[in-house]
Amino acid sequence: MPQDTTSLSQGKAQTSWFSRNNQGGRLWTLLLFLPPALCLFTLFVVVPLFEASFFSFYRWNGIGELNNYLGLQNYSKVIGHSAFHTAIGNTLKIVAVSLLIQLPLALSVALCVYKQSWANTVFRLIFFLPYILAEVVAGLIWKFIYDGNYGVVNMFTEFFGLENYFILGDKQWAFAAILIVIIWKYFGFHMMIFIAALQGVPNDLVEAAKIDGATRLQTTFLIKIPLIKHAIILSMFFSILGALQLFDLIIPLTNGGPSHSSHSIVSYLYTFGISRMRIGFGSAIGVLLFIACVVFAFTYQNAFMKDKK
Amino acid sequence: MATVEFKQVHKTYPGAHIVKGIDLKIESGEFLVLLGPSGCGKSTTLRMIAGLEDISEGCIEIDQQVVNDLEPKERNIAMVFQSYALYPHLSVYKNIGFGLRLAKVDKQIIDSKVRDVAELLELTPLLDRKPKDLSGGQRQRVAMGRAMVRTPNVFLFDEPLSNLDAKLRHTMRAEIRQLHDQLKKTTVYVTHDQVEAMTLADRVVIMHEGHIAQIGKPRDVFLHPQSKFVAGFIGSPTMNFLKGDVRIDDSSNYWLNFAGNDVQLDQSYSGNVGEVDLGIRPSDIYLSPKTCSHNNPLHEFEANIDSYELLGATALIVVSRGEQSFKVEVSANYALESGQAMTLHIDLSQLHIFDTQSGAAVYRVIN
Repeated sequence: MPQDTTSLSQGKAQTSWFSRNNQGGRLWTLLLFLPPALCLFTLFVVVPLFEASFFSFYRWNGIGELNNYLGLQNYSKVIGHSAFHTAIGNTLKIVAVSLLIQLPLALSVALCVYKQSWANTVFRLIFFLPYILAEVVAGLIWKFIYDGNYGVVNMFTEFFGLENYFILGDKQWAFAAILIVIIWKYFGFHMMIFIAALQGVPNDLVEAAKIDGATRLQTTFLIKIPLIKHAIILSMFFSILGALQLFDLIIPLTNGGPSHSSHSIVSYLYTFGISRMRIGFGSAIGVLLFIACVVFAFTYQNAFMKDKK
Repeated sequence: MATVEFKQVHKTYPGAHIVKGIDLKIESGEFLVLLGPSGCGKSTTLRMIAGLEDISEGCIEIDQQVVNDLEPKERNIAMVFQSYALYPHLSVYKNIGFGLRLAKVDKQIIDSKVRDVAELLELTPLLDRKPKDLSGGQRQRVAMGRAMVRTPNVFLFDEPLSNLDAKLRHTMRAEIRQLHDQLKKTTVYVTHDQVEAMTLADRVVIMHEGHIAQIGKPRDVFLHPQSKFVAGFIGSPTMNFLKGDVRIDDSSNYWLNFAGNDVQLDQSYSGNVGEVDLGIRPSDIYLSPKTCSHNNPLHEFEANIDSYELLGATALIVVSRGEQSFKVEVSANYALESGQAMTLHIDLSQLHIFDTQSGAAVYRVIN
């Protein structure tokens, strides 16, 4: 009899392990749907990542055999390269401008147009339009606007009787011009996030605040903004990650110039790695960028985006 | 303490006339309940007092001062919302003290007031909690605390108990009435629940399609409805409506014919001759003459039981006589079943007669 009991309990344990993990067919879903995603992710993300890490230890032009092992030389070159420092500086500038200008602007506009009305829908669409445009197209449009000979800037300089001014060719101001395009291009996206969040703020709370004696400004700062904190945190996350990955606006506008003063990290990678066929060097930049993104994403999520239960 | 007066108040939205010319005076310290079905304009009326809705026409006075153009905060009112409308990111303490903080009241005074109110509402142990950590009843009390702490002239309640379960609703109802008796503040309370209205109100205002259908003490509204709408709205189970005919004889006596019998009406009948609507509450029909406690004239008739529904202490039976069917509320002690034939007795002193066209009450024996 004792033997029977043991085998019974073992059987029970086995059943309960499977049933515990297969509640509502969860295990089947996992086995059915996970492999395709996992295969694609491995093929297009994990494998290239390991390859890049591998290439980053070699001098390699992308063709032929890998036989010129350099160790960490590519990394030390990247870290010591002044254009890379400029690219990091520029990325930090993008982060600063996104957080200090773009998001407050998006929030202000969202607060103006979040209520349902015909006019607000039109304004929302107008503000969101730049985001729909392809980056390259947006870059080309602004390249024309900034053109000193034929662009919109030229109209102003002519009107005021000034000399033709090529802002994208001015080492001091080229990146500022790019920052304006970045704000213009992406603030509509953040505005939409804020609008969605603001529409979720119950009207009762706003009315309760009104009765409690809050002015519009107080209602905004003490009720609405704290209640959409989650959306602001999410927007900040997208902004910073976007800054780290910015590429396609830079190429049509300045191509990183003049004198490599307007590179982002990715355009720096493209120019110095891919264009010059220095795949090993480019890979080292890619690995550094990847580490930066992962560290940022994990730190940020741990700090701000944890579900507080 | 303050009076609130409506003078020909209208509220219109594009394509909709919600409140159609209300005249009403709410006395200082009174507990007035606005009662009516959904869409009758009761909440809009309350929101106009609060200043959350503009007044399209007419004026509202609080303490003889026209408040049409005053902001909510300038009206010295406080409101409790159906959803409680507690600020989810603030603690109970900060929720209650929010209004005082905005009014830049001294921190120590805020602290003492918040704690006093919390003590009164038994919220002291919960002051540091966030609204999400509270039960429905506790949230309701915080919402009341937030209203009370500012010592307003008028309290406004917008269906504050509808999100609570039946048992809690009963407790909170008693608490609200108790608080009103303690504070003696003018209170306007909106509900669609007639039990709330009956138990809480000093006076009930019954609204129907933007008009005031009747104003009166709960007992008066129940016993003497001035229209068929009020008669049908107040009371649960609802009043039975039957068709009848009124004729006048040679001696100028009015006779009511219904369910095949003639009943003489006394001189209080103020309607016309012809078809009328009759109203009788299910509780005014008896199984035997003995169960009728008073010596009123009874009208006897035969009927069949169509259905039997046990409600607890009482049971609701639906009986039919010819084409007419009506509800009767009887003691649950009777063993009755569907299909049974029986004799019923209508207490004629409780009979209501309404004009078929206007719906106005034209006859009621006054007790």
